[in-house]
Amino acid sequence: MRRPSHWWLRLGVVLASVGLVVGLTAGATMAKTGAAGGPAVQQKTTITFAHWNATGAELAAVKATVKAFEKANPSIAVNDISLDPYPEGMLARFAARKPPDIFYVDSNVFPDWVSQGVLEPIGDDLAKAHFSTKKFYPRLLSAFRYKGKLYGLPKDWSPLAMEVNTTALAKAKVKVPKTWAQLTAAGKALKAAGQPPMCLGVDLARILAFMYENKGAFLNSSKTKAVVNSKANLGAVTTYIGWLKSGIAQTPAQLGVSWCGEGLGKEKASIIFEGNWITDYMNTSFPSVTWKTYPMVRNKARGNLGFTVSYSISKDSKHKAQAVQMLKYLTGPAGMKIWVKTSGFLPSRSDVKPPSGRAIFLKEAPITHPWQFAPGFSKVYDTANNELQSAYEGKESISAALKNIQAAATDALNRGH
Amino acid sequence: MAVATEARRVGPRRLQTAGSAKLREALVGYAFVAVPMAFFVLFFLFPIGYAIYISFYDWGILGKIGYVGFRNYHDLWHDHRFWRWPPHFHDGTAITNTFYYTAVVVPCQMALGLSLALIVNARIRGKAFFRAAYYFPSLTSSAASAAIAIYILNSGGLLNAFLGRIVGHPVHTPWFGQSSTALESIMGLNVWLTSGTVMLFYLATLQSIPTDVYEAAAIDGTSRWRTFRKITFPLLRPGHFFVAVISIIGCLKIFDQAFIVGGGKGSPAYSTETAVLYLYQTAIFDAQWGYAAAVGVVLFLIIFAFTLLQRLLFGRAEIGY
Repeated sequence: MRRPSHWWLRLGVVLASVGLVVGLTAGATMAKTGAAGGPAVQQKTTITFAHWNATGAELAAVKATVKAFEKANPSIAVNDISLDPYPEGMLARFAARKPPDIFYVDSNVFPDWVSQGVLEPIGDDLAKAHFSTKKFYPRLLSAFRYKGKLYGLPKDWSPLAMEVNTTALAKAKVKVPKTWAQLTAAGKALKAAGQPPMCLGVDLARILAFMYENKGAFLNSSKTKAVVNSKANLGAVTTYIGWLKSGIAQTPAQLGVSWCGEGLGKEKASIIFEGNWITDYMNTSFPSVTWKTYPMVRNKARGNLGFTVSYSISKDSKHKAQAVQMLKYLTGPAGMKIWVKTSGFLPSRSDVKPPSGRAIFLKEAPITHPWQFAPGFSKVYDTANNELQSAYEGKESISAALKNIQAAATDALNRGH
Repeated sequence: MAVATEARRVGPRRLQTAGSAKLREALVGYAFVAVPMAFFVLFFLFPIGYAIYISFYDWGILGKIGYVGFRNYHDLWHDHRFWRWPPHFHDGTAITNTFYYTAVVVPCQMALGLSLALIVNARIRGKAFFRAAYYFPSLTSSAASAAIAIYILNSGGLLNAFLGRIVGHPVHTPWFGQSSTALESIMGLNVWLTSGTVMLFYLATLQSIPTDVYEAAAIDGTSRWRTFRKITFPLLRPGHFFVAVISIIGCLKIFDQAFIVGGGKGSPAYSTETAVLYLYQTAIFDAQWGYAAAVGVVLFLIIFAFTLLQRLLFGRAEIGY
């Protein structure tokens, strides 16, 4: 008998075990793929829908609308995937050329994604299907146009508004402010009465609204030139930071909260500027706080920032017809009615009624500018926030901060895509 | 015995095939390392090479856009968010922040780790308990510890309440919320978190020092401090080298806590912007993968240069007793 210590036997054992491991792994993978191929037998097309859920109500709304869509379209099944973190998850899927068929696109990342060619233009498909886009608010629709083509339809939106703790204001014996001057006075009265201050984040996504109110802007209307370094913006930022410096306003970090909404809920802040997302948050987390929504304050002009998200279709989708079908349903009157009712968000179409108590937000629509810049602006937004924080901390002057933001924005525009 | 007889029996044949026996042994050896090597090539060497390749392209979400030569490196050279010349304290560039972080954390980690190792190596009661207790923080995930630290270092958090008791009036410092303390708070957190691991490395080296040198020192009546300074510390050289290399590499790669504390944006006022975080932002938020690869290559070169430099400074890490 041969002893099993021969070198070739040992080698054989090693190679066999390697082969076994590799084979098992491959087998398991194939088994999985085979299972996934199963549903194809049932003449049903499965499309993938990627989204995030900001609130529990949003997830419920996704489930409700998907269910209603599947009922109306028995030949299409929807596999909905919730991605968190969202841009990371989507980029990996785009790069692997296996993106979801239909998915959310934030207005802020839209320029980057569309310029890199991952989104499918949908204008022609919608026209062929006689789907009119006339009922959408034009400013929201324009957020998803690129070089004259439409790449998505807004699912909902929200502008900013002023939320006020009415009890605190009553205790300070001050009226709800409508202008910057009145806001300053209200802040002083709150401070004098020992009431919580207003909460202001050092964030371009809030400060830009005040820039618009001072007749300033970030980019020119054709988004080809940065106009950050202006007198109007200098005035707006000086006033905004002035409120913080004088102590009539505090940052979330100072108040020990993660955002101003939490400040209002915990009664650490009396006046904040947030969007419609505050409504559901306050009602579910802090039902005992007495608060109300009012229009944004104004200065030289009225101005506001609107945050919106689209449903878009991927260029690499293998089921574009079905994805367009779903897009039409979700943004059509029937789908949006279910969406708005379940999520509590504002409809992006004028022919769908908003949930009750949201009238103030809707009235801001005509003066709202979409929260959107140009390709490569994610880094500019970071730069802006860091520069504004430096100015707020007194590490540099406000005009120096604006100059640096202007330079970063110009640089991003020149790089272009 | 059977083996010996057999060996004698096959003796002449073995002589004849000495070369092929060596070959056989080598083949068996290679077969064993083949799997880890394959993984190493597939998941390390290939990605590194590919990253270098990508760094010469304008590379987007869907892949290659165009060859740009050294433009990514040229742009990075002029990128004031990556680095600035001359650098100055708290200038907020990714490189300055990373080096500042490393320069503070590495010595602190080593000092604390060594002190802890000396304590638990001494003849004290409950040695096992202290070893476990000091090592315990290292078991915590860095993300979880950062998330908890956000609460503790909050303006209305535990640390401020504690400090308020000491100074006698309320303290409301937003430790992570202002640029003058954000990175420093992460430093403190990380020194504490990693000290246990450093302690473990030092403990292993401490225990490899032969006892006869200490006995000789004791006979000569050397003081404890002098024993530490003249014997323990120099003989710990392999430990110093190993710990320094490991912690410098770890510090230059700082990402997770900075990401969690600054929300991935480097805020407040660029204070938590680190080199790896900058790479991440460029890749994920801007989808400029060529540029991000260039950042990665530069970071690789920096870490590589540091390791080489340490090797030169510390000389050969082996030591004779």
